[in-house]
Amino acid sequence: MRVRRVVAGIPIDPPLLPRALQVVFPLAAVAAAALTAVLLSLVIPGGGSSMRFLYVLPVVLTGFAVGRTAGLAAALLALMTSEYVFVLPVFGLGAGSDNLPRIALFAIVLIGAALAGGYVRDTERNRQVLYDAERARARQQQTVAAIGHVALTQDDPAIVMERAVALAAQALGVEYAKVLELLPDRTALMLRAGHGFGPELVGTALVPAGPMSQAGYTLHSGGPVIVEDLRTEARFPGASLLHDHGVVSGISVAVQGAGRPYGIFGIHTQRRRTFTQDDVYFVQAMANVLGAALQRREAELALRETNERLRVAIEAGRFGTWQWDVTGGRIVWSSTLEAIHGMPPGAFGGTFEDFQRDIHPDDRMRVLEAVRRAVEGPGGYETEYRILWPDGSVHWVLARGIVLRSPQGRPVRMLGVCGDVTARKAAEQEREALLAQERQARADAEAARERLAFLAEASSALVSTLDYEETLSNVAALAVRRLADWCAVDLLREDGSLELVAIGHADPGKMTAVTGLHRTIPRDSRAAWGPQHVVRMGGSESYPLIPGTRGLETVPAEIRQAFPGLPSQAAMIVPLVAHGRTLGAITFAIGETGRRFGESDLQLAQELARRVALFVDNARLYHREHRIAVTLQQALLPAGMPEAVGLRLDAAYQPALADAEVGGDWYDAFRLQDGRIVLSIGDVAGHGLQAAVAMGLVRQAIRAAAYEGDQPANMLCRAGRLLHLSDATAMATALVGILDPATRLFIHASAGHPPALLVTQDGEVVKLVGGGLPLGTLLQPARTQVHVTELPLGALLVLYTDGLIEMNRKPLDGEARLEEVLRQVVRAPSLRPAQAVLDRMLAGQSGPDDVAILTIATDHAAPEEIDFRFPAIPSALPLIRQGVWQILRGTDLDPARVAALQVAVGEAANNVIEHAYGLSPGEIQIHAVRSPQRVAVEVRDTGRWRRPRADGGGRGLAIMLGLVDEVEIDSGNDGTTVRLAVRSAGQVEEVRA
Amino acid sequence: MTARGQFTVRHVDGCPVVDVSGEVDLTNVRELEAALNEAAKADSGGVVVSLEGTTYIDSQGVRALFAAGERLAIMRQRLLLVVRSGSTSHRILQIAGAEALYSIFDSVDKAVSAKID
Repeated sequence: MRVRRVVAGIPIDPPLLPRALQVVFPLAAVAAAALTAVLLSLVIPGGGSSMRFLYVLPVVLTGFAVGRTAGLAAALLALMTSEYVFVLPVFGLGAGSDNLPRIALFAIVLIGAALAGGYVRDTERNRQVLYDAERARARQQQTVAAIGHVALTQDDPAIVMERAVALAAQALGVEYAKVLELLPDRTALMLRAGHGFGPELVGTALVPAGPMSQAGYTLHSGGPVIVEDLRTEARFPGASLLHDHGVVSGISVAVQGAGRPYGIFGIHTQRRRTFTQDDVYFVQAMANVLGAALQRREAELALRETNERLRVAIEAGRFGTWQWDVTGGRIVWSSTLEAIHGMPPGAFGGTFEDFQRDIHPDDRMRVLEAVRRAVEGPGGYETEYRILWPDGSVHWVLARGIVLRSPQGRPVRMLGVCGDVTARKAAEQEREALLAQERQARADAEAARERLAFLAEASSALVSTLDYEETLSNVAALAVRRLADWCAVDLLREDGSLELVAIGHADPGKMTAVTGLHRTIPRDSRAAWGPQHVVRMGGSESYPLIPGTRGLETVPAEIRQAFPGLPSQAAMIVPLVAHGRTLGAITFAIGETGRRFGESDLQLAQELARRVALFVDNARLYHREHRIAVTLQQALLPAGMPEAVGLRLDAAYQPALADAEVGGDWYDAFRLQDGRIVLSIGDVAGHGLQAAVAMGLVRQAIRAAAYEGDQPANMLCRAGRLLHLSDATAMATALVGILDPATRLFIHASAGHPPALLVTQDGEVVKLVGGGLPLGTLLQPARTQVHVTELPLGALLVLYTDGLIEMNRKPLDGEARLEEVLRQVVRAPSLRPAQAVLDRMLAGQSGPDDVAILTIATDHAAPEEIDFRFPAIPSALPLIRQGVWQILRGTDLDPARVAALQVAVGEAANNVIEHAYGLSPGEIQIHAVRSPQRVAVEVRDTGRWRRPRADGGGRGLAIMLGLVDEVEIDSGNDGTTVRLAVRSAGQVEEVRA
Repeated sequence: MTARGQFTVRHVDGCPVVDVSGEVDLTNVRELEAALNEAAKADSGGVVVSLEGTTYIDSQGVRALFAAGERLAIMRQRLLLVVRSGSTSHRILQIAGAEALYSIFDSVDKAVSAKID
């Protein structure tokens, strides 16, 4: 069975012995040789020596079959067995020493035989390995050739791949071979063909394309990847597809597709195997063939598609062919080209004139120029142009051609195709139209965005302040930037006429002129156009030209000069409507720029008008409420300060910023029947009407409690309860005190209010106790602390609300400043200390909050002379006594005399009250003067003196006379004066003496 | 300055006592009259009016006292006045001639025992 083969040009013989016999044969040979030798020596005693050389054959065979070592062992065995008979002489007696050369010779022969056998064996063995390798390589090359053939003959790449994996597995003697295709998203590879893998896996099994799989790693690394043992592979864990099949070793290479990697070709085995470089080359070759097959397939497909398209186009008559005999001038068209030109077969005249006649006149020059360039220049001919069909319709064609030239380079003929591309052109034009539409939509969106931005800007201008004339001017200024050359806002007065409240012009220099112009617009109730008309009709009006010449005739000359384009003005007039009521109109007009208003301008104007109308409505509502609140608050503040001898009360109130809302600050000062003065000051949280109402409530509650005889703490408790009952959310701070003018004792209580300040004559500022829980809080204290302070002479007591010290939002700075201001005011006495403090604190500004301030100044010393007057009513009596007390307490008179004078003055006053004026109102005037020795008091009225009646009235006179040292009654038509005086004890004695 | 007049009626050994404290003038003389009428209702033979705490009293107060005294007399009762001797009130009562018409004491106790006697 020796078959000589030629593999890659090297003649190779197959091995001498079949592989199976290589083991069995040497053993059998040695055994046979040994047996033969023993038998011979037994059978032919002494004659064995001639048989010795029989031993050579098995030793040679053993060396050849098993190897050099085995041959040498066999030789030793043979030597020993063959010279069995010489054992004794050799080892025991040495008698056979004469045989030694023979024995040595025999041994050499045997060793030589063994070595020879071994040499032959080694040579043969090498040849076997080489043969195996070459045979494998040959098989691989055959396989590559085979798959190349398959690839060439098979159109279906799936079949090629199937064959490739089967052949590769067979050629390499492995269980598995596979082709993986990289999916378009490049995240995974799919099994496209597999040998050894279940058919259900083909087309379904996925391998991640990341570098964690052998396939993915191969894609990423680019080169072949050889795995000896997947279980210990360090470069990647390997995909489950391989692990599931118990794969240990394998090779993967990339398959290159058309312009991109197609996937992976791989062979795998469950046995551990060291692959040779040949194996790797083989696998790579298989992959290359596969890739080439795939690329060819794709190219073929593309080509086929192109051809198919061309064929379809020509068959459908969309392309025709033409040729032009440049020298002869004849043009030949295919029938399809005639059809493309809308003419029946054979209708084409065949001259250059015929050709160019059908070209659209607008394109003709261009086409002729292209033809000229093609004929003269090196390039080909390609142009698109319109043709006119006999029926007049316009079609687009694409013409391509080449110029054939004579060997001298002269153009001889042009050949080409020409096709109808009307559909494509239409699509292109449609696309252009769509693009244009899109551009328009973009522009519209941009314009809309601008309009929105404008409205947003206008809106923010409208909310920034409630002063509407200023705001409307801002809006008009905005409108002339965006919408019109000039803009005017007219508001409806209550009498139905329009009042121009704001006007704006793009050029501020023309404001006066434009105001004049606006006046020329008719605004009487019969006007056929203009704001008045718009207000009456309730709808917007847009005038492309300002209508009527009647208005224009009245335009003054200087205005006409300012607006040269006056007759061509356009205007939009939009009513201002809020909550169904028309409040006025806005006029937007175009002056010298002469542009026109569009529909979107009108919409924008209407949007703006809507916002302006709402603003005007709100502002009016606000102003109404503001007025009510101001009125209410002013009504609630006391009209005047109570008078008390020895005390000067002053108060000042500063409303918050003009356009902010009215606050809930109050102050109050009133006299109780006994002449004591109740002072209250406070601040209801919040602003507006509600706060003003709550303020009135608290203030009245304090008054009521004071008249009931409550102490300051109780007044606060009552007021707090009432406030909480009327509005559970309302809160107020307050400070209430009762001041006795005679003793200058000030008793006060505070509910969360800033402390009152007492400034002494020397400028020392004492902070009275303030704080405490505010009114209206749920937990009204059962008992509020009451504090008593004696006001020194020449002092200033200051009660204020926190607006005074929070002018610049820093109460601590404000307090320090207030103390400084108070020292200044005390040093430079003022008739209106409260106003002086307020003026100095505010320094001409108005703060964010209301400010109320109440001051009580005590006289520097008991006066020597005082004048005061009271209404002639009973409640004046305690006050008169207090007044007189002011003068009396500065004397050293005996208290009994002082008391007596008080009673006498009281009697005189009683008389005035009871009799002087009858039922009409009148006054009691008191003049008191003191000297060290004497106090004199005049009680005067301007009424009628009546003789005291007997029933007690006379008693009054008697008491007067009995109590004081001097009594003098002066009665006349213009009133009565009673002069009373007491003198010091010494003086009295003198007089009596 | 002193407080407005306060008029309280109490009974000492069954005798009504009107304490007048503070100031009495035209503004509150009606309250004094009311207190005196109240005291007179006891009909115990006499009413004691104490002016010990009175800081001011003028002819109007005196008139009210005298009017009460006259009404009591009709009812056969006595008006007994208590006033600190030397005080302005005392002087006023003297000037008005009260001493001639009514008994004047310098303490409530004396007045009460005088009434019982």
